[in-house]
Amino acid sequence: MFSHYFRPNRFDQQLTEQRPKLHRMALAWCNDPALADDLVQDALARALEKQEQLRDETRLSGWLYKILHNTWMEYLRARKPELDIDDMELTCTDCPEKQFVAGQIVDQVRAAVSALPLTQRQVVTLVDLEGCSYEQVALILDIPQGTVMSRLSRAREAMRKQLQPDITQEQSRHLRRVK
Amino acid sequence: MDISHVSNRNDLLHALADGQLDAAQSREVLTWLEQEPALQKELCEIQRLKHLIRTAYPLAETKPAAKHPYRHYWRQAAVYLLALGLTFFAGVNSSHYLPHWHPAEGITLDNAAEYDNRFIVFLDSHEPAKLEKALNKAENLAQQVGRKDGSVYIVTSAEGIDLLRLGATQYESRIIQMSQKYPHLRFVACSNTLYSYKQRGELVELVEPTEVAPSAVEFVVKHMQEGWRYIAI
Repeated sequence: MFSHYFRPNRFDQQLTEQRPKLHRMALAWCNDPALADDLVQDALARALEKQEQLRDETRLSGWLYKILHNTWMEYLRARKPELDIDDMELTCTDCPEKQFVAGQIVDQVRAAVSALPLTQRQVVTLVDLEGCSYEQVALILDIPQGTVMSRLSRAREAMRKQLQPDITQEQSRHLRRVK
Repeated sequence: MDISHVSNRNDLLHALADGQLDAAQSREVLTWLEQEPALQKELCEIQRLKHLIRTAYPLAETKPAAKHPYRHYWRQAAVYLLALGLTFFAGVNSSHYLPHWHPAEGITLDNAAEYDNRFIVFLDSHEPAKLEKALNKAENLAQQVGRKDGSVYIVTSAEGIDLLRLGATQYESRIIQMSQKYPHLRFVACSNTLYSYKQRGELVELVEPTEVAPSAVEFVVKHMQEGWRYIAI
């Protein structure tokens, strides 16, 4: 008799299906699982509030990423009002704890993504994780397509350098490890 | 995608890797690729990065969120209801693609076998120092894991294939020796790279023990999903 109270509508189901992808994206952007949970939940709550604004269901995914982007921007502005978020980089890109797990490719890649400036990080993850077109990324982040391309190119170049440390650096790390 | 305004070849290479070009545009960029090996290597590197990023962030079951002071309680309630819906409709997510997690604390090349017994050494450069380094690392690992029934692969792609290429490598006898001494050490070349040589009319002959994988990147990713440890040179 209570079943109809627990039957989610179609929109709820669609949000449910998108949730893991949103979480993966939020984690790639903020590198903090707990904060990623918060951001996704907040974004989903906003999506529920604003569902009437989505006129074309085929654009649900891009619409949700735009909400997630706005949610994170608000969070950053509230937390770091003194910083220009376009210039934000992870301050600690070579901390001992990061070097500690340097043998792990997953950790290396995540560290490289986290070290990217925020704006580049968003572009590269939207393209590579979600498979967004450049046009979709431009709409989500509200930037020109040319900017999407230049940020993507810079992001990948930076990641390549980060993931292929020069031999001198690597040797020096090994030297420190020798007991 | 309109690329009429795009003058930067590098941007177009990224657009090709990301599937943003139509058939005619792709043909144009592929023509450059055939003529310029450096661009082929660049494309290979972009694709490798794309694979790595996808591997680093697998889709996984999400936990209920931690509380956060800046959120309104009624919003939380709405989303908890949504999460309840998840339990009815999502089922149990597979963890098949989750990367194997190792205790990396304190690991060095000298004690690696205490932590693992399966390693991939990936090489995509023909810089002399890197060729030597790849062989030294692989041999060191092969010595260690031999006592633990382990395996080591040297996987080569792009210019790294020169390590195994007859006429280009200085290490033919060493590779054969290593292969005989350590049967669990294997040498792999990327078929995509060999194909690009073939398209340029260059016939590539490889050192005797070399095996060929369809794609070095896919080979690495597949083995990482199975829990192998990856070392980039």
